[in-house]
Amino acid sequence: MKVVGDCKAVVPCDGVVRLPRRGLTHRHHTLHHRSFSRSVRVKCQVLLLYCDLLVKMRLLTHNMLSSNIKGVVNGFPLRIEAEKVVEKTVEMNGEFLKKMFEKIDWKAFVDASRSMGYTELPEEADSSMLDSDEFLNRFHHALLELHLEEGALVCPETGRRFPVNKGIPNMLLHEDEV
Amino acid sequence: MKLKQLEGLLGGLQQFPQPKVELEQYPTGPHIASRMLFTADNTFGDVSNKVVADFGCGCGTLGVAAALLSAEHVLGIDMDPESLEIASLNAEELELDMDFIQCNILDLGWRGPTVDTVIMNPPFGTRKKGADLDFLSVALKVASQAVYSLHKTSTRDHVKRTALRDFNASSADVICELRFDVQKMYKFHKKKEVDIAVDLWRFVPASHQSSSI
Ligand SMILES: C[S@@+](CC[C@H](N)C(=O)[O-])C[C@H]1O[C@@H](n2cnc3c(N)ncnc32)[C@H](O)[C@@H]1O
Repeated sequence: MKVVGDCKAVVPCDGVVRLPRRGLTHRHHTLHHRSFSRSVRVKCQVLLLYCDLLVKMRLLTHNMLSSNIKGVVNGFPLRIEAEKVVEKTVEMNGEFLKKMFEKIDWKAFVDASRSMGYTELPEEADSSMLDSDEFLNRFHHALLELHLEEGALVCPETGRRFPVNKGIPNMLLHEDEV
Repeated sequence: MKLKQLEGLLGGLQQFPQPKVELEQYPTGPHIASRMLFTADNTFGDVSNKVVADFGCGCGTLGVAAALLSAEHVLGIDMDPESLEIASLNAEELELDMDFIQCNILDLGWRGPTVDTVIMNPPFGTRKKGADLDFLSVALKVASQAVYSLHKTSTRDHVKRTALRDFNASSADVICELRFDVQKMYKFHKKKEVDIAVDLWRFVPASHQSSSI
């Protein structure tokens, strides 16, 4: 057992931190084994960590933001520097995914997922692919289950870094940037 | 989820331990917050399965309410890191998935028409004149479906005119008039209990956005 940072989670062999689904917050000081999914428990080494915060930014959010520094013409997409990525299972909503497919910028999304270490998305996609469960699963996973916990978002034009700490990107601009 | 249940859960949220007056930090009470989001969901279908942004989310009351009413993706934005930290704990405590961003609402860059609904209890502008309308201006650009907001009843005509004429809203309607308890807003408030009348608004943006701002 190893304590990493101030988080309570399991870290499996692949290094991706998977958060337990429920029941583990800063107020609960015991690890409830049942709250981890079986498969994760079997494959992984269980680490007991304490967590103040389990917030995170997901790729759907990333896809809607751009750098708004004064003078920047095309601030989208922000490049992702991932230091720590967390995975968390959420229920899939097929209708929602279909709607989102129309709205997101696919290329930026694929690049973002790669910088988060997920490489299962096709370079190009069209709406006919939404009929495939396999595609939907991957789309869902990349869009809503990958969380950037530590790292940065980087303005594509100026290289200015917006740090992401404990899952919250700090996009506050300096006075000379507005 | 039933209204009473929603109100009960919101009542259990942690709120600003040390409100920052310059940011006009006071929470929307559970009574108002639950009705605001319940109406948005039940009457107008603007919450469940939608992408919802909470502008000036503070400790997250409105965003949490949206997530409890099955919004598919909730994004809370505030300038103040301490509030965001509490908001994220509130979400975590209820096992809700929400994203947060620290930014000035007036400075954030957006791409495309992804956000359906913006919910907010903006600063009324007692510190910075017009702050609530500045928020509204941005909200009407970011939302593609609807904006729910609270504004002082005393400014009703001005809000309506500005939204329709300057912010390109296609409709601006007061859903109900509410009472905000100022004493609860700031615990250290010296005066006896004072209510201010506040309107709950629903604005519809003119056209579905297709460009970035
Ligand atoms: C009236 S409080 C509402 C808090 C919360 N939404 C609620 O309903 O309980 C206004 C919030 O807006 C935030 N705020 C004020 N000015 C802001 C700005 N320019 N950009 C982002 N957040 C701001 C404050 O920190 C505060 O949390």
